[in-house]
Amino acid sequence: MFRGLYTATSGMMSQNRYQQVLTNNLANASTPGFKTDDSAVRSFPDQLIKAQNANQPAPIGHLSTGVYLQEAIPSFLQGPIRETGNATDFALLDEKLAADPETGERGHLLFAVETADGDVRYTRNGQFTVDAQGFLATSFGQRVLGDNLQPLQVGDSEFSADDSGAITREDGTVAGNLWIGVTEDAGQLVKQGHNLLAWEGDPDDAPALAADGERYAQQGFIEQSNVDLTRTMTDMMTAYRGFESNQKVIQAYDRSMEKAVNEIGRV
Amino acid sequence: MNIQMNTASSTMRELQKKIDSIANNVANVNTHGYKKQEANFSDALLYSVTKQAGTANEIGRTTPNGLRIGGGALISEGITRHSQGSLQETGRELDFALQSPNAYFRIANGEENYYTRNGSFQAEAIPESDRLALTTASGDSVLGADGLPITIGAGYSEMSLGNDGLVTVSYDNQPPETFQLGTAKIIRPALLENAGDNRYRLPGTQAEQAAAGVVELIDMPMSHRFLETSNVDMAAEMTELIATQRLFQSQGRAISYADDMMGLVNTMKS
Repeated sequence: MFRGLYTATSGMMSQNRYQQVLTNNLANASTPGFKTDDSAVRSFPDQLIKAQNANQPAPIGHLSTGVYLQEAIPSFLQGPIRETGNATDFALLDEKLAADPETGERGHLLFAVETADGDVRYTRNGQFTVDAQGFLATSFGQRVLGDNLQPLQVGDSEFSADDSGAITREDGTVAGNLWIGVTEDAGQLVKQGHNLLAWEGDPDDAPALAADGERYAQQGFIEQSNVDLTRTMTDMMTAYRGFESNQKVIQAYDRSMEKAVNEIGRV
Repeated sequence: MNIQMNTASSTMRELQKKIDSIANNVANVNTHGYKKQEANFSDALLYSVTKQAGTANEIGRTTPNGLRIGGGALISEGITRHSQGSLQETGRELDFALQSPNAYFRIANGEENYYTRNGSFQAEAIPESDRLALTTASGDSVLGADGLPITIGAGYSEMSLGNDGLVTVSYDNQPPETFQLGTAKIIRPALLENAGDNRYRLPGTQAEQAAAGVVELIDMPMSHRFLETSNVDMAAEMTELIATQRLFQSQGRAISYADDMMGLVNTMKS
């Protein structure tokens, strides 16, 4: 069998997957706090090809047996900030974090919410609302947690918050502080839909409460999606052409097979 | 199943809902007391695909195992923004405008209670009586602070609102009457449910709502001979419409990419 036929097929399949990831990025270009997925393509194990000589096989080199889309890595770059004027909207500002002196990298800030079954999930989407019982919640009803990991009861949507996340109700009483966590390894956060992120890394390294009283949050603003529409459209074109090229390669193999079967064998 | 086509088409459907809500806001830009609706997006649930058996083959990964493909965007429940609209002077005797964003007039249609921000009232003749019923434009009775429909004498000459919140109705040849418009402070605006005709409804009876702390039946400040305009900002709505339409278009493009790719598969053996 021809060596590259299935390699080209795997190329088509991975370009198709890549296109799916890009379509999802595009779809979420207006989802607040959405983080674009970058794709990583990985090659299947290489084969070492050897020429069959009379007694000594001579190595020719490595041959790849195909590629697959291994992972979609969310890019936790800060999205643009937009003013909404709604008291229930919050944006997190990563650049307010101190950079690590050794690596020069900053961590990423997160809000924590509680799911219906009591688990803690993280989110970058600070577009909140006030639910029927007066708790600060996401638009899907998951309650937003305070720094004591309890839901924050803000009363109504007329509360005020300072940029450290301390919330004061309309009547002047204190509702608590928003839980604003920080993680250095955002790659371990897994998207779960509904803007939720689950921590799948070592539980000991889970996002931890950021330094108290720092000015990380901004009320009345939301962080927009960090999807770059222009780049995504360009990538989609490229993926399409990559898919097409692999199809042409398969057609070329097919013609070679046709020759082998119908012409070489003719008597 | 073509995931990509599914993602793009379901996102288009959700984006269409957002365009609908923008259209509704724009249509109601001149509706007194209208509160704009917003549609929020979130990412949809994901398909999880595992490519290789065993973690030993997954060296060099930076993310947890598995490949998660998003299913597009999802619209969450529409949020009504209860911010105050600006006040417009009309000079009309039966026009009232509320002055705080969580205040509502109490109105009723038979047994059903509603809340509205539209203070443009009408005086409607009550059959076989010399009194007029105060109603909204859609015919619901306007309730007084005592929870009963307000009526006024047919030949009233002037109406004025005092600092005490009492409306005084003067007559040419009989003593003046007073009434107080029934207002409510909505503590949980998120619970207000759109009932059409510029009205909102809350679950349960009014007594239950008050007992649950959802609403306070108290006197709220208002202006007489003024109406509250809608809180729709045309510039913001149009910008949002343009952005949403372009995104809608881009989803169409994603569908045509998916279609062309399927075409390539079909013509592989030509």
